[in-house]
Amino acid sequence: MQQLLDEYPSLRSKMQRDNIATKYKRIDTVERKKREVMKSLAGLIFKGVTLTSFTLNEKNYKVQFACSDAKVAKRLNELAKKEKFNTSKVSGSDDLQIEGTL
Amino acid sequence: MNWKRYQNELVVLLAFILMFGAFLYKNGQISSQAESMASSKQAVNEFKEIVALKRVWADKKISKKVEKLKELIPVSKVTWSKKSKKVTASYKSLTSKELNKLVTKILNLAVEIRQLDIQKTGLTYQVEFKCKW
Repeated sequence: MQQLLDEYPSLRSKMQRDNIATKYKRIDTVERKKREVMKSLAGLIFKGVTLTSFTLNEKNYKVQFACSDAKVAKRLNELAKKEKFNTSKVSGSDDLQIEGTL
Repeated sequence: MNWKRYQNELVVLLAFILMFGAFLYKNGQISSQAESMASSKQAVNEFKEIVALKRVWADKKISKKVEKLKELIPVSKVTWSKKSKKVTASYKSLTSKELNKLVTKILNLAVEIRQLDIQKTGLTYQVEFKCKW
């Protein structure tokens, strides 16, 4: 421990360490979640599926996929459900919308 | 009562009491030593975690790394604005290959994503990206 304290003198104070841990743990959790969501959504794209819009901010995300036909839309819906995404069909098309909170 | 008669038994009893006391003391010492070892190990692990978190999320070179988001795409397609530790970037007419490259790069940068908008217009994509660090 002493070796670590010598190596990082700015982290000598326990209070400072706790503050840094709180700050960066929060950022780490939120940012990892954003990246996981984006990777999972990217994994839903296969032949016949096109990304038409994607929005992500600090609180939530929304994505819309265009599907070439109803069969593709059904498979995409199943895949999204498997990944536990909240899906909804866009009326009058084979598009699928996914939205959720972070 | 004649104590002399039980002198040997008393010595044995005293010896047993002493042995038992020593046993309890030794046990206590071992468990407190193990406890202190475990707590210092935990403190070291927590310290290392803080160092790792700080290294990732307070990377001093992140500003330069973010600049790569500008260089990744042809200049004509990028509108770039950097203020202090915040970047707002707009990309227009991106091909799907360029979009993939850009998103992969964004995912691997240790920045706080404030906003990421992707819109498909015809065959190309428009991207709005805001981040801070």
